[in-house]
Amino acid sequence: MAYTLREAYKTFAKRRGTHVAAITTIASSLFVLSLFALGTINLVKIMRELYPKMDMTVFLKDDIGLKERREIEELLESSGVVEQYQYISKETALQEFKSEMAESPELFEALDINPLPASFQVQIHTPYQQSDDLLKLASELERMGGVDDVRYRGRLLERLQKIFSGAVLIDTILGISLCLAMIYVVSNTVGLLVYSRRNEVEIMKLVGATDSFIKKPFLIVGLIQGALGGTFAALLLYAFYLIVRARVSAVVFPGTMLIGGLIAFGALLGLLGSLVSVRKFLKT
Amino acid sequence: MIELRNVHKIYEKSWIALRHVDLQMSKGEFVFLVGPTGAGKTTLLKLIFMDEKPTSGEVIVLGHSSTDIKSKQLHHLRRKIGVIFQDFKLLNDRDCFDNVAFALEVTGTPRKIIKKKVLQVLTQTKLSHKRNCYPFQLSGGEQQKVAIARAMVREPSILLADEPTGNIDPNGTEEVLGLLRNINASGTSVVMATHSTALVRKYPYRVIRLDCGEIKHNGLYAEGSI
Repeated sequence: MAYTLREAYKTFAKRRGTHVAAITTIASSLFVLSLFALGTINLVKIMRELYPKMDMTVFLKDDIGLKERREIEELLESSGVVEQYQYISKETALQEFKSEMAESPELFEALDINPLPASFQVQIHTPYQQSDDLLKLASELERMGGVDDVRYRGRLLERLQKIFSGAVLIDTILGISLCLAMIYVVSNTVGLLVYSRRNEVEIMKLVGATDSFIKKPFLIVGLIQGALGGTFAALLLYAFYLIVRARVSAVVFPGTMLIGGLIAFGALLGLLGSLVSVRKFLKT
Repeated sequence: MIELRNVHKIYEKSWIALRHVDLQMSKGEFVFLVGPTGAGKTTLLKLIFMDEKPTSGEVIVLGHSSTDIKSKQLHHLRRKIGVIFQDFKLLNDRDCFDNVAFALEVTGTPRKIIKKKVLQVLTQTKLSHKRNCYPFQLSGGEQQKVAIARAMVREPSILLADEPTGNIDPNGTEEVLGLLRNINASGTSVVMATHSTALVRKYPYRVIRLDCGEIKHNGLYAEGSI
């Protein structure tokens, strides 16, 4: 082991420019990747916060008849996604509004008509908060004669869901591309190092060194390159987080997971890159 | 100890290096391998330390057969074979001691034993006073002695020498031959490829002459045999 570490150090001490180039590439690639991951993590957080606030409001036209109101109630009851609902008349709505605006009674002094519509406040069963059944119910309600408008946060959530799916797709494509690029960079760097020590490798093979003995120092070099790249990416990401937090305090940063993950992932990519290169060299 | 059974070796572009070679070498034997450049001497040596595999036929060395040895098992064989080359193949960033020690380090020998064995072999090769010199500070003969010391330090059963005197002066040649003979006297089989007819004439060892990949002579030196 002492020999392996000594040789790894010697290999690392050589061609510093090459190592710097590899570490910089890994650091910048992992930084870009982690930015997208951080964005996705924050999107998930927003979506989670929205789930419990998934009530629906069905605003009614002023001229709605009793029959139409009854039809709406029947639809709400038969839909299966409604946990409970409550009818809020125009008068009740005004009373509630007045009590909310109690500090400014002058607002209502000049008001000779009630501008607020009657509505149904609908509470949705939790499992249906994202479902197609909910969308169907909203569409059916909108088509009914006495309904003026249907508002619920599902629309926003639906949009967020689409953004989230897009973000995951971008994360995946970007992640795979950058990982392959990083493996390629490390394998080339280590390839250069192996090539520069080809005489030594040839003699090692001649005198009976095992392949794993020959590989180890180069694998350690790849691992260190990757881990250092991951460390610098984590530092950059933390600096970015501090800048963003100064403007948006609610931003989430799972520090230990991201920093540990970046270093470990960088090390793994470095290891893979050098393994590809050394195996290729030993086979020839 | 070494056996070649109907060995045929063809490189790329149908270049035939060896044709139907049958050969046997016993334990403790010293064999000269002669022939013009391109006759197949180096290929034959490479087949013995299994750096190459025959296109057809079988090579058996110290119980390992070319037909079933896996690349992961090669190191077992290589640890019992010493190889020296015309161009020495020394590491220029290591001194004599480290060049010799290298052969033991890669096989995981403890540092204490390495030091003892390396000093012992450097003394045998009369290089102990130059143990801290780098290859570029040594003459050709001395560099070859370091290469021999590196091969000797693992006490191999077989020593393969590919034109070891090709790059050194007559004095150096005698010294190298003297060392190889000493190694042979201690029980190691030696196969030495050479262009030097003077050496072949001088020493009473078996001579194998190759020409265009075929064995043309296999026996003691006789006038007109090489």
